[in-house]
Amino acid sequence: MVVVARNNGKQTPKDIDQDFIEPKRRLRAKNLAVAGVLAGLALMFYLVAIVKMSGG
Amino acid sequence: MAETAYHLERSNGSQFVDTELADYLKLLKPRVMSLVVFSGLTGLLLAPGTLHPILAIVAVLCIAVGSGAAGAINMWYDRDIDAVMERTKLRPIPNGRIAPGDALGFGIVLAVGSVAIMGLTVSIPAALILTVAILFYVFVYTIWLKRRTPQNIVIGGAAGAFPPMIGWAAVTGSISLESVVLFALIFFWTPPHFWSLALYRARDYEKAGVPMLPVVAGKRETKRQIIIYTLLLLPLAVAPSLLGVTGWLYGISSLILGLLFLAAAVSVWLDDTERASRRMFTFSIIYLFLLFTLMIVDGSTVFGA
Repeated sequence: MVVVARNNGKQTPKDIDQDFIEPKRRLRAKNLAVAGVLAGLALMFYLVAIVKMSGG
Repeated sequence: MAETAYHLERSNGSQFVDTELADYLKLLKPRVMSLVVFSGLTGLLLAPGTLHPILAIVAVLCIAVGSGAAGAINMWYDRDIDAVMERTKLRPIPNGRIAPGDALGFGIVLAVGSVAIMGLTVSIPAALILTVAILFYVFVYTIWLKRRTPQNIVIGGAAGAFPPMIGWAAVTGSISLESVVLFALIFFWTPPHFWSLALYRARDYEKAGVPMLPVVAGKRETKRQIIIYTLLLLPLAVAPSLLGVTGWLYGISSLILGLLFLAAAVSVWLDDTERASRRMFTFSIIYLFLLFTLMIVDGSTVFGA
């Protein structure tokens, strides 16, 4: 995705909004990804613990 | 890829490039990872004994992440030559989408994490072999051999040959002749695979100063070596059937596939255009996938063999 300034090189109010909204959105996506990985690890250790306790 | 980079061009003309999560995934070399995972899974399924499905999934995940970690550290170290080569100049580090230090940190965290989880949950021997594979790829292949000798991918190829051994050790907790044969199979497959690529990328490697065999010894010698390694591979590919790991379905199929691989190598020898080497490179990947698929179908107890 590419956002470029139009209007003879000047940013429109919409472009300026994008400048602030997009990085926020992307940071949120990254945080969600990290949270997902951590939740996945927790679930994995939980399942492994159950397997080990049942003698697997 | 450049088109996935997120560019925000500011009114003052400065440009910053934001990092996509996809760029971090690219650091893991997903295409290499798929072959590594598949060969690791093959070792796991062929090994005598049983492993709980949850632990098997964890083992395969650790192999995948460990392989990706080694790939990320490799991209960190090779960022200078990656920027020069056509094939690699769009990778996340030379393209400026990921800072070198971030890639190194990412790789180290994943490497340590994958080994620790493998050791804590699956098996210590499997974790040890995974450690050796990662260290071998980073220190022996990437840092030591790659820029020094045309035998770089011959010796360095061992790093990519470890996954079936890791899978095997995850189930049995040991190394056996059968797992060594699986290791040898990938070890002898690697040179014809990479040299067929190097044949039509020779200029790229030369520009980057990487002494691949076609650059140092010429195309004729490379083609001769490809045939030698393909011949050595032929009996090795049949060996799992002789050792009783698989049945004769695999034995006969691997012989046919081996002869086709040899035919591809001979056509590279005879054909001076790059078309034959491109075909050989593609076929080498299909060959290994088919070989391991046949091993699983004919040798794994999962399918009642």
